[in-house]
Amino acid sequence: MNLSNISWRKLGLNAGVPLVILIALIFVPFYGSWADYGITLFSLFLVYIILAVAWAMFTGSTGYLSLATAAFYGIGFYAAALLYPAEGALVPLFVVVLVGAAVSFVLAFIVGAITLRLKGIYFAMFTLGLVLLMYQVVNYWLISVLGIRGIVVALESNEVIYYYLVGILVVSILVAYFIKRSKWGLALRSIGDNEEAAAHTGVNVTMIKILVFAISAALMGAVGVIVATKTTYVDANTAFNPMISFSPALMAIFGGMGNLYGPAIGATIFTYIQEILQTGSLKNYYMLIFGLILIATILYLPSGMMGLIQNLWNRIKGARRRALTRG
Amino acid sequence: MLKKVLKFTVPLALCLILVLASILVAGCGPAGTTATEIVIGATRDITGPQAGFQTYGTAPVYKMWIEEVNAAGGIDVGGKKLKVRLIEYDDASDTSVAVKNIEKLCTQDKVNFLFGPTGTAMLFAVAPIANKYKTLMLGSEGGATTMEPLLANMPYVYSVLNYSNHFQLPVFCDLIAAKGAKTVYICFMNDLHGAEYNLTMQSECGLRGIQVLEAKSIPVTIADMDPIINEAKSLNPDVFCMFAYPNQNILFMQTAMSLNFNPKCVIVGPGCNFGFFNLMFGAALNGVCGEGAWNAKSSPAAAAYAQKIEPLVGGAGNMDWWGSIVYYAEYQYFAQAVTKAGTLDTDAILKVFRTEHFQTVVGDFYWSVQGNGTGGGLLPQACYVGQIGQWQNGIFEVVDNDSHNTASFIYPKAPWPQS
Repeated sequence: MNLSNISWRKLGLNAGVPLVILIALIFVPFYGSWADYGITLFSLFLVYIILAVAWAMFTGSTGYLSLATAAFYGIGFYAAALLYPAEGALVPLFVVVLVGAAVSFVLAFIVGAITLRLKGIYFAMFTLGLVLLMYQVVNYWLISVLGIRGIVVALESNEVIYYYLVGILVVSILVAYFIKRSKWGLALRSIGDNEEAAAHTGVNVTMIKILVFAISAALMGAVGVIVATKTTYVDANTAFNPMISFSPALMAIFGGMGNLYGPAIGATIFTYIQEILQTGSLKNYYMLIFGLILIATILYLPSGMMGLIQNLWNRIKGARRRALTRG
Repeated sequence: MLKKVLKFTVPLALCLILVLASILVAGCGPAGTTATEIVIGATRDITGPQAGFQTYGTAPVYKMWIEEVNAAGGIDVGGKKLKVRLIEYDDASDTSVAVKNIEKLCTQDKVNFLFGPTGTAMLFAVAPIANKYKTLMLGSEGGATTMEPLLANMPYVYSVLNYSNHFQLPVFCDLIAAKGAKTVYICFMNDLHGAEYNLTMQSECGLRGIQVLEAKSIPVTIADMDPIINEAKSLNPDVFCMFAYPNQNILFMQTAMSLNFNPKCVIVGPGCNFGFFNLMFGAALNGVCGEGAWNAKSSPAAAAYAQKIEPLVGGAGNMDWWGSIVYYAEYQYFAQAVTKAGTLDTDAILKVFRTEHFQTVVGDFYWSVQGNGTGGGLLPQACYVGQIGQWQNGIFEVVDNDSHNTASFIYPKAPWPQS
């Protein structure tokens, strides 16, 4: 193996930065007197980062706007409600996470097989409809069949919740990275560019779309399980809240979907802004400020924060090169 | 060139403003507890669908109580008067935001105590979190049968409001059974409140030999009640139960009057207990029952309280004849318990909560502690001013069949007035 062929800068960026971030994340719960609040805030960051990365994994490449996030996330909630109730857990938590992910995968596979032939606004409408359908069906089942409304899930400690989320984040990033770098990633990008052309070149477009859609759904379902052990109360409103479909999408757009860091940066900044606006002295203007930020992003940052950073970096590089040339 | 510069400076400037604003806003956040004050936190629906409760629910009551306490120099804690400071966050009735708010209140703001959230579902969502952080939460709007077994393991949660089996519908069913009612039609909203009232009503009717002709669920978005009222009319029940929220209850009243549906007794859920129902329906409301209940005739203390709270909620239309008085009594109890404990230590205060009686606006006030004396608390029946109200000539009369009643139960009620 010739080490001189390795681009150390590229390797540093691809492996070093995520590794440093991961190590920092592992030590967050032990960070001094801020730890109590820090761990809950960072858990929130992780939830939205995973959802945004999972969402961008499919939509970012294919251009199919999925608003089904809340449906798969909600399945995770109900997996926790049924298998991990406050009265006594039926199976260990990691099994519940696997079940939440598996059920979401299967549902997304079925839904994808039926609907991924739809395009554009029709697919977006169907996926949002799926969230509303899940809400109605589960609500009917609980109220009219079981005669109950909410189910209380066993409460987990902040540390357990946090480390599960770190674990799911690592899996999400690895899955997204390897899909992007694989033949599937190339196929997905070709689908996004021109689906007919991709099909003519021999790409099994339907199967690839369905599988990636189902994989992203599995990650959403896994997060739902963990969040349920944090919020503990599960009802159809909490589980199938349409805002959960919109927020990660907006976060990913805000951060930029060109690479893996975009959705993660978008989710972190968005969640933090949301947090300080909702509970700070501007809390009564939260929605107004949030709306202005969104409008500004769409008008001035069509490629998101990562696009802005890349543009700036290119300009700095260009300026340095010009200076060197002149010198 | 200028165009190129602007292309990047505008988004950059926006980002800079955002970052600076975030730092400023974060810096403006409330500080933690100091030794000179008692900090109480609350997550409330300030901008969402239940925001009305900030005007006529628990919020005006605790705000009035805080003003009174602070005007008197504060609560006596071990010989030192400590003023009360409130930190209130908006959750817009989103349970995930409410949970996050409670976590922030407990971990960052380090509040000493919590006021309850807006509504039963929110209470379910935040009670385990308050308990997890071992922060005493004083109940507000909301309470549920399904919460009772959970309270056994939630020693930091005290739920103050009465609800279906605790003790409203047993009292109501006693009233209608004593008058000879034989049949009931139940219409309920498909949420926690409606589902629990429906099941409790069916069970209480079963115990008294009253037949439930139909139990129909409705969605929160219902816009037309004609089919339900027509069906109920054809079944001719003695009693019609409408277990839903103000919007649906108003729709029911309008539809029942327009279709001239006149059962002998009508009971209507939340909304009926507020003054605005009386302002909307006037004389037509005579004989309509609601969940509650208290009024200015309940006692001289209740009359004084009604006089005090009415201008603060914005007039007679916003008077809450169900929970308002027990919320205030709960805060009065809390202040005395803190003084008795002589410390802000939650466990010491809980010991007082578990054993002590104090005099409040509703008279003798104490808790029924769940889980064999180690869990959270519910208010015993003796501490409520009433369970069932009935509008009679503009007053929400307490018609319970005991010493609480301020008027006799009218059965059958008069038909709707013909316009």
